Amino acid sequence: MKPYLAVFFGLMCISQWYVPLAMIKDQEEVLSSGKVFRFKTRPVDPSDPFRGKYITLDFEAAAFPDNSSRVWERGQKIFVLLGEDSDGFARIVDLVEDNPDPEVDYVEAEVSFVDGENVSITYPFERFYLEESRASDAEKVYRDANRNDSTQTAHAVVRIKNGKPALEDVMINDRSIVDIVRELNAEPE
Amino acid sequence: MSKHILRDLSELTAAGIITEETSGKIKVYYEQKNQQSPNRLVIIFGIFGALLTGLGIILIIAHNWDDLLKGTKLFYSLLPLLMGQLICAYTLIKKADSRLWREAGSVFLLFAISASISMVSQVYNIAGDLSGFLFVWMLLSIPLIYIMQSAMTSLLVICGITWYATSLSYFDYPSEIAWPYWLMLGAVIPFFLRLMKGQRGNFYHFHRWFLALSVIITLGMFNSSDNELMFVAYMSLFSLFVLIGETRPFAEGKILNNAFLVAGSLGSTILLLTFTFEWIWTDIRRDHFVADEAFLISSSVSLLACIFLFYEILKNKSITAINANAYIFLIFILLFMLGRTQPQVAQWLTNVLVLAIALTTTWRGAERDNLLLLNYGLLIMTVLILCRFFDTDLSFVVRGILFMVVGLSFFGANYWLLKKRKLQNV
Repeated sequence: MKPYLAVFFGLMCISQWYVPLAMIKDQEEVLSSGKVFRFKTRPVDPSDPFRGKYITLDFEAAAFPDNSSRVWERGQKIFVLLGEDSDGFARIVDLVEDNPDPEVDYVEAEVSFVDGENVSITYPFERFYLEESRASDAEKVYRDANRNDSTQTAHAVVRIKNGKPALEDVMINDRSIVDIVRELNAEPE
Repeated sequence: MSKHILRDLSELTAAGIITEETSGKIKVYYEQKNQQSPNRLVIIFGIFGALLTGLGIILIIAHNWDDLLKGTKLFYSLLPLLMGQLICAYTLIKKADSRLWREAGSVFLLFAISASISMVSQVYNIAGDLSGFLFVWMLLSIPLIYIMQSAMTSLLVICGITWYATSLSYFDYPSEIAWPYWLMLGAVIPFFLRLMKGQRGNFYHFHRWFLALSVIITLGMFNSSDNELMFVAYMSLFSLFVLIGETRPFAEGKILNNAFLVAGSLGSTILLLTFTFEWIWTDIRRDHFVADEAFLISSSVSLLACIFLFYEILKNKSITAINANAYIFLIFILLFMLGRTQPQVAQWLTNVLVLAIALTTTWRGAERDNLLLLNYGLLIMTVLILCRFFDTDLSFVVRGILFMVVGLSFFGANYWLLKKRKLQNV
């Protein structure tokens, strides 16, 4: 192999490693030192089709009644300023366009649609991946917990640092959905 | 082909048509040729093997084994990347001359890059957007084409960047112009030019088709405001393709391998056929022109086609020596401007233009003794007549007669040309 080719090959390999490793580093940083927010999930549309190997989460804190005269556009990148309600679940304090003060708790998100004063938000943590064969069980558990008449509560545990989120777990009545589904699979029918 | 010739050698020598010496030389020639070009099938199966193994590994990891710890999951997510890089390194050191190793190794690595990014995203529940993922994947894969000299990787990258451009410009909301697509396409071109200078095998022909189709698919990215001027951009692009297809290296070989010529001619004809309808002219009349990206791109492509055309005219010192399809964009621009005030006249003239193209194509086919071209001309005429059946009030009798005339002309023209060939062969 010619020396210059070896150099180029080496550079190529490094760049190919850089992308996944940087992703891992970023996520680990958020998971280890990010602030925990509990995002309460809301009843899901029962017609929502089965999405394969992940469950799609639908949050209560994904809509914000904005009575200011600001104009929001679909697909716009925004920053959601976060706070906690009396039950300790995440709630939206405000939406801003520009990078907020690092002292404030916020997360990067996107405007999904605007209906009058109501601004709906898409968070970058709406998918929770599970083992392929168990995702449909998990979705069922998640749906049951989110039914309007359900006595259970479901929420997602999200860690946030400098506006970057990392979805840690999905809890149903304070138990991880992964454990619940694993238990379901272990029990003979 | 060589096998047939080699089989007949002894017969030809016995019959005294060639000497023993010539027979020996022919044998040596084919033996050397076979050594130089490895078995195509082996390469094809090698590439498919790498492709399937790569995809298989991705699927197995994608199962997302819950029982594994996060670290183990990550290890298995990144393992294919390491394997791919090791295979490529081994190929460069030990098997640099083997086309099979180069192609298969780099195809495997290409998929391993995708696997590493998507599996890490899955482990950390990162939703991500498709266009961003495709962009990074392709950017990391482009160096593979040159370092490994892999034509299959180059083809896959052309597909990948096209996917990226369509995802960002057509399917994302809000959509954006995928400018990086053009840079990445430019990065593949030097490899294509090298293929052109080489043996010009199947990979070269595939590249021509992939490149032509990719540009046709993605040019619409500039149409961010539904600007009707994009029709001009496309028509100029098709004429430009015809001009490129008629230049020296591209014009050689089979016509169906000449992607630029075929795509350009077909594209311009189909676009013109659309403009033989009334509704499209009504749409254009309603449209208000604005100086946006679509305007800029249509003027740039038209200017480029003009310069190329002018250069070809100067080079050939003749206006008629150039394929008539290369002029269509100029006529189309005039028709387009006329259509703003006189849509009916423009529509009528477009019909005449398509008819003229059909007749000249048929005529050229007859003149050049080319059955494909002759029937293509007749086909354009048939489609034109079919289109007019939708928006004219011709009686069934007239329609029937028209169909019969076209049917008979198909039969007659082909019969005439075949007979002409037969007479020439006698």
